[in-house]
Amino acid sequence: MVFILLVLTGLGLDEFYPFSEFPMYSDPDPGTTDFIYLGDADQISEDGKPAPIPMQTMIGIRPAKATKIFRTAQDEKAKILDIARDQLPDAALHAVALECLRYFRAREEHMQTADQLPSRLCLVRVEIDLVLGEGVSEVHTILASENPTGEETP
Amino acid sequence: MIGRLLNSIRAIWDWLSLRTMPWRITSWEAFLMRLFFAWVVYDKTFPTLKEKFTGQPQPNGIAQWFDLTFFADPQIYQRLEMFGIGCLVAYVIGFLPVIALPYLAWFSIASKTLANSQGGISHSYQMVSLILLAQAIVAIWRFVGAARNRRNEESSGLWRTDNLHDRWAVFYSQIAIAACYVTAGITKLRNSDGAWLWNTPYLVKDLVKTTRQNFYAKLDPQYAGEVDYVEPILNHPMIARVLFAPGLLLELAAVLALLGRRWSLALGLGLIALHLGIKEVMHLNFLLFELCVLIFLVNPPYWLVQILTKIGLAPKPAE
Repeated sequence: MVFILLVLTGLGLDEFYPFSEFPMYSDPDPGTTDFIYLGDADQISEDGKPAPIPMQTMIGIRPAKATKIFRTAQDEKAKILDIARDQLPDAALHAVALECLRYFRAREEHMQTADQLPSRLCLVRVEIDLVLGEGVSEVHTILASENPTGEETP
Repeated sequence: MIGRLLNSIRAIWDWLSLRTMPWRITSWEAFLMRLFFAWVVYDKTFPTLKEKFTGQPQPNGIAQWFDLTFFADPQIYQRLEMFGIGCLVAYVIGFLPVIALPYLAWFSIASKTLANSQGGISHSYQMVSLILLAQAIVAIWRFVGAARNRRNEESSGLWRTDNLHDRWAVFYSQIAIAACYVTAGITKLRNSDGAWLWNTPYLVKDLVKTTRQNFYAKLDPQYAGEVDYVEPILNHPMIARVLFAPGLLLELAAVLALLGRRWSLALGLGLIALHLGIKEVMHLNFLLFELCVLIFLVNPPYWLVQILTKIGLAPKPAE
């Protein structure tokens, strides 16, 4: 009975630590998947990709967790606008990216890495798509950047 | 209505011959389990100061009602950790479980809840926290029982673990582990409308994603180039279905580990093999899950003694 109770609690509560439905990789589908990382906004290569920074070392957050934070912020914004997450307009997406950038930048204080981080961070989204029998594509898009005065620009 | 439902569940349970009582374990077995698990809790889950979080922007679990950011204060944290270490020592030697285990469960749940209240949910520590919670419930339950019947029991029953306590604590730990896997299996079927296995070839996107995420974590160049296993799966999607099918079946069958020692060993080894396979293919580390399974399901010391006893290299251990 305890076993059934635990399973039902996990499934019913969704995410309520320590209870979880363990949703990782539970719905593989043909759509694209994405994640985010942080880069140096002043070091952009010819193909448009910024020089990445080691996120775990610099801000103590791995890209997987950063992506979940970004996704949660997207969901919050989408809920306010009463639309689906993937229908967020560019301006709203940019606002969410800026909000996350601020949060990630603030981690430098706790990690004592302010002197190692670049003066301007940018938040990059990588979209991964595939066609069975053909191949996988990875598209990098800069969603938001900080500017030298502390204000962020697209 | 609910009574009839519960009776039906119990009937199915009985029909499946699933036991609802823990099997006998020796005191040295229980001691070693506590020792190994205490090491796991200390070494792998005590939060480090580097991870301190001073806010809880997206409160999860009990953080919806309580501010847990006091963990970020180094002085407070140090005191909490020192008391936690004391509780771990008490837990290992079986002293005052009614204080040690609830504290350790609270410490584990509260600190990881704070980490999970930053907007992203990590699934690395749930199993450890659930095991501590399960063992804390057993400790409280045994304490209350012993206090009510203290005239009929030895006085040490209130303050020290006894064999019955150990058996229930191990059994509840095994239940917590099995429940995690079965829940994960059911979620896969539910979220994919039953098509999880058929759609597994699309997991190559996640394969690429986890590899790249590993790269951007520390800029380790081994994760920057071509991703292993993508090409064969893209060219032969059925390979993915054949490879991933045993994983789903193992998750759903994890409940069978509660049937007895041999079932527990077989399922435990299968689950560890599953994690090692996932680590090889997807670069995803489930070390804490593996360690919990190793300690409470596989239980190597017991089988080692069995083998040594069988070949005459060790005396039969006292019960």
